[in-house]
Amino acid sequence: MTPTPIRIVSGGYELAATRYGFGGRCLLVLYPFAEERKGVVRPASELARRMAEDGWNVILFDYAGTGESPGAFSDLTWETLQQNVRDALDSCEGPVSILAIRLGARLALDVLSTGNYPVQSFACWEPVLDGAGWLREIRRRSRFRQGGACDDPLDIDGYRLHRDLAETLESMSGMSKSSGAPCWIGCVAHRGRPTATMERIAAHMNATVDAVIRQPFWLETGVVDADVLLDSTIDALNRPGDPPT
Amino acid sequence: MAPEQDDLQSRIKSIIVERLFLDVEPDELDAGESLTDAHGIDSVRLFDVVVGLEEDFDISFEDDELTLDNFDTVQAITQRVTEKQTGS
Repeated sequence: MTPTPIRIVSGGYELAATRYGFGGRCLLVLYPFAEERKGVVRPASELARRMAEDGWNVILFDYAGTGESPGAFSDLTWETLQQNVRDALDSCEGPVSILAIRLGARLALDVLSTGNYPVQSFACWEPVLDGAGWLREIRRRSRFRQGGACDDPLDIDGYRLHRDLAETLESMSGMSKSSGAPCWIGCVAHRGRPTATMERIAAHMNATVDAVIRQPFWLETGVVDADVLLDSTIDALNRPGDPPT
Repeated sequence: MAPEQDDLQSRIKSIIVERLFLDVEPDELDAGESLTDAHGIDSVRLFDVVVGLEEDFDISFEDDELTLDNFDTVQAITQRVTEKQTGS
């Protein structure tokens, strides 16, 4: 299955976007940010290819200033990201399902809370809703990797954050409003079950959780063996007449 | 090693194996060997052990304690956790 480039114009930029499959139900994939994006491109593309074979059309795109999309990462604000998602949703025909990965989940929920989008089902991989907690962990991980050398709060693993984006994330503690759509979560597991944080998020989102025992895929940049996660995701999204509940 | 230190080290070994998804039994970890050298773990992943220790022991490491030397061996980790627990 070969992906087809599609046109999503947002904020004056034509975002890098591809579609796998034609017709059928639409799945929009929302990537995580910064270094975490690298680890999910391969499994997300593989998921898109397999779902297209199941009759879905799956849209993958890069936010402005990330991946192959034009713009500078350092110009990104939360508002820009939300507008990118709105414009991507507008490019979907009919009801849409969303797969949101990591902080892409918070982004999706913030967008969905501002409009009436025909979202049929909502799936997440290891969702992050607490932007402040995410930013703190990224900063600490970055500091650890660099041996405590990084003292620039706007530098996360070599990615320069816009001050507004950093402030928005820092103010984004706790949970966001739930989407109301049936929700399924795929996550890594410690001791064979989801982490306490993931259990809290699942309860908040009224979501079903599949704990997939493997390494955190968003931290890996090589070939990722995510077959179990992909199988679970496809099963959840394909549940006939009863999207993931 | 005192029995309580032995228990602490066993608990830490379990956390390391779980958080890093190592394909070894916790008891097989050599307390003095480098986790990065012996198991091919990079520092990005080793940070998951830091998170695991903070969650499991309800402790918090300061930013200036986040160095590879402090967490690269079971021995070093046991020392850091002991210091946190005793406030030394």
